[in-house]
Amino acid sequence: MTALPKELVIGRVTETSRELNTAMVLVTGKEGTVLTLDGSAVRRVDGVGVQLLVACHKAAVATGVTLTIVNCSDELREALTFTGVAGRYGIGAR
Amino acid sequence: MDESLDGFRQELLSLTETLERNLLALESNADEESIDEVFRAAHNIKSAALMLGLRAAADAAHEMESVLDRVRSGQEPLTRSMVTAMLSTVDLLRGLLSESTRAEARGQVVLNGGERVLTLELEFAPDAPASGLDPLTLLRSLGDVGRIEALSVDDRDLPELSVLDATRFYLRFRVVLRTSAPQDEVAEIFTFAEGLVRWSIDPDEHGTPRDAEPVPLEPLAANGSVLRPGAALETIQVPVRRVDVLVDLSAEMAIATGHLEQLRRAGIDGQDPRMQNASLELRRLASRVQEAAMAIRLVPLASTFAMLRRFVRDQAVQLGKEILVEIRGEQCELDKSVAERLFDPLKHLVRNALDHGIETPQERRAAGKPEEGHIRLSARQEQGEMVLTVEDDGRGISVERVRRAARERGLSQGDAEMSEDEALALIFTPGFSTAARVGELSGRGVGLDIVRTNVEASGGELRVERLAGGGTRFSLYMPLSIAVFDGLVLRAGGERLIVPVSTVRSLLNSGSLRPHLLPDGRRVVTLPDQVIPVFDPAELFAFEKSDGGQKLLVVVETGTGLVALEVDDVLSKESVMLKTLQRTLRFGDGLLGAAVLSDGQVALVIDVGAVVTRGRIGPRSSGLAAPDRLEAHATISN
Repeated sequence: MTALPKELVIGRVTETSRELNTAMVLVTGKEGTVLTLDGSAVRRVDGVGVQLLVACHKAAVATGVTLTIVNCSDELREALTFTGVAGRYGIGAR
Repeated sequence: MDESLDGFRQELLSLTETLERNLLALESNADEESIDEVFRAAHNIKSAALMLGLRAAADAAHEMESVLDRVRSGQEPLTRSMVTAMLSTVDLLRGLLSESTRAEARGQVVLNGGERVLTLELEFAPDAPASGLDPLTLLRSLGDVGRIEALSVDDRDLPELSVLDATRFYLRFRVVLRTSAPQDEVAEIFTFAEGLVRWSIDPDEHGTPRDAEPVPLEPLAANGSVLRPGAALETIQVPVRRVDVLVDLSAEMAIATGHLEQLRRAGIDGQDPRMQNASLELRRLASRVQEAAMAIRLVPLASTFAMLRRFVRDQAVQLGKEILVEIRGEQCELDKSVAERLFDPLKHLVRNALDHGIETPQERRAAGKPEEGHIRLSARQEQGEMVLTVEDDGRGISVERVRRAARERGLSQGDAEMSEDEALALIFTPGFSTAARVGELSGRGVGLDIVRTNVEASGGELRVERLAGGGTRFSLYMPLSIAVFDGLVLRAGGERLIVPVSTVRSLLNSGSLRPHLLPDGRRVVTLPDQVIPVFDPAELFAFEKSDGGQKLLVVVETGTGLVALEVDDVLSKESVMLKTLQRTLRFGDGLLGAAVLSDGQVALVIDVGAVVTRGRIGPRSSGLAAPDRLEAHATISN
C-alpha cells in the first residue's frame, strides 16, 4: 500500500508523482493486481493533486491494474467527489 | 454597427444607469415622486428600445412598468425583493443593449426570479497552477453564484503518468450551473484568471444538449473586457464644456499660427523678440490643446463608486446584512483606462469586507455595535498619487489567527512570534486563508494576491491597515498620470495655491479664531471640539511674506487629522487639471503639482497630507494628541 502525502498540492506534487510512478512501474505487467493508495494522511488537495490521481487511474487502466484509495480523509474525499472522479477509485460520497 | 444606432444604444445605456440610481434611491425613499421617476425612466427605455427594434429590451422595460404601476396605484407595496428583481432587469437590459456580447434574450424572464441552467466549459493554461491559479479553487468559486449541479472531467489531453510534468495542468471541466445571477456576475468569477483559463457559457434552460453555439466570452491569453455595467460600449460621454474648451483652443491656435506665419512672411528673424514670443505662445497653446484632448478621456470616479454601491446592496441582501455605504471623493476624475483597471481590485476588496469583515446584525448587536455596518469608499490625491480606500467597521483582521494559520502551513520560521506587519503581509500570499468557513463570496484564499498583482501591474501599491476599534482599511496607491478635480484657489504670500475642494472642511476668519503659539513654537487654533495645528503656506514654501491684514483659515482634512492653512484670501473655485512637477524644482514635498487656471495663470497645488510632514508635526486622528491638547488649552487659558 502506498501512502499519499499530507499535501497533494503544486508545491509537493512532483515528488509524489515520482513515488506514484514508481509504484505503478512495480505493478506494470501484473494484470489483476490491485494498487492501493492510503489517503488517510491527506489534508490539502488542489487541482494538480486531483490531476495526478486521475493520471494514476489512467495508467492503471492502461496496464490492467485496479487502483483504489482507502482510508480516504475527508479532504481528499471532498476533492474527488467535487470533481466527479471519486467513483474511479471506489470512493463513494458520504 | 450603424453609427446612428450606436448613439441610440449609448443613450439607452445611460438611461439604464439613471434607472439603477433611482431604484437604489427608492429603497430609502419610496414616495410617489420617486416612484414616478423610476417609472418615467423605465418608460423612456421602453420607447427607445421599441424604436430600435429591441423587442426583448422593450418587453423587459414593460414588465418593470407594470410592477411600478401596481405599486403607485396602491395595489401592492414596494418590497425589497421587488427592487432586487427590478435591478436584475436593469442588468438584463444592459446585456441586451451591449455590443460586446451576443446575449440575446432567449426568453429569460428575470422579474419572476427565474433561474437558468448554464453549461460552462473550462480549459486552463498548462502553467495556470504555477502562476497561482488553482483550478479547484476557481471551480468552487462558481458555487458562489449558483448551484453546481454537475461537474465532469475531460482528461483527453492528460499525458501518461510516466512523462507527466505534474505541475502543469491538462484537465478540462464541464460544469452545469443553476443560477439566477446575471451572466456578467458569473463571468466575474474569471476576472482574476485572465489569461489563465478559457471558458464559454451556454445558457441551457432545460439541461438538454445545446441547440445553439456557446457564447464565447474570453479567449485564452487575450485581453478582452468582461461585460460589466457601463463598460460595454467603447465610447465615452464627454461634457460639452470640455468640447467647448477644445474648440476655443483650436481657434486660438489657428490665430497664433496665422500670426507666426505673418511674421515669417514679413521676413522677421527667428531671434527677433516678436518671433520668439509668437513661438512661445504657440507652444503654450499646443500644450493646452494636449491637456484638453487628454481631459476628454477622463471619467469621474462617481460611476465606479456607484457600481460598487450597487454591488454592496445586492450582496448585503444575499448575506442578510445591513450595510451603509459612504462615499467620498467621487468627483475625482481619472483616465478611463485607469478607472477600468481599478474596478476589479476595488470590487474584490469590497467583497472581502462584505463576507469576512462586516458581521451579521446579530453579531454586531452582541458586540455592542450598531446593527448596520459601514463600508467607506474614498478617493483622494496624496503626493502625486491617487489613493483609493476601502474601509469597513467590521471584525478586522485577527493577527493571532493569521499567525496560527501560518504555523499550520509551515510558513512561520522558528520560535519567534511573527510581527503584526509580517502577519498582515501574509494575507497576500496565494492560497492563504484564515477563514473558518468558506464564505458565500470569498474565503477560498483566491484573490488578495491577485488583487495586489493587478494593482502592482498598474504601477500602484496595495496596503492594509487594522483600524483602532475594529475594522480594516485597504488602500490602493495609484500613480496619477492625469487628474482633474475641483480646486479652491487661495492666495498666500503673493502666490496662488490650490487645495482640492474634497479636502476642505471649513473656512474661518482668523479674526474670531486667532491662532496661538505654543511654547514649543507650534501654532494652533482652538475649534469648538478640538485644537488643530496652523500652517502658513507662504512660510512653508518660502514665498514672499504677505503684508499683514485679515487672514483666513482654511481647515482641511489630511487623512490623519485636520489642519488649518492661514492664507490671505480665497479667490475662486475651479475645475483644474493637475500637472506633476519635476523633482528638481525647489519646492519639494508638500506640493502635488501645478495647474493652469481659467485666466491662464499658474497655481501650485498643495498636497495637504504632505504639508503636515513638511511642517514637522503629525496630528492624531482628531487633531493634537490628548496631552498636546491639554497643553494647548492651558496655554490659551493662561
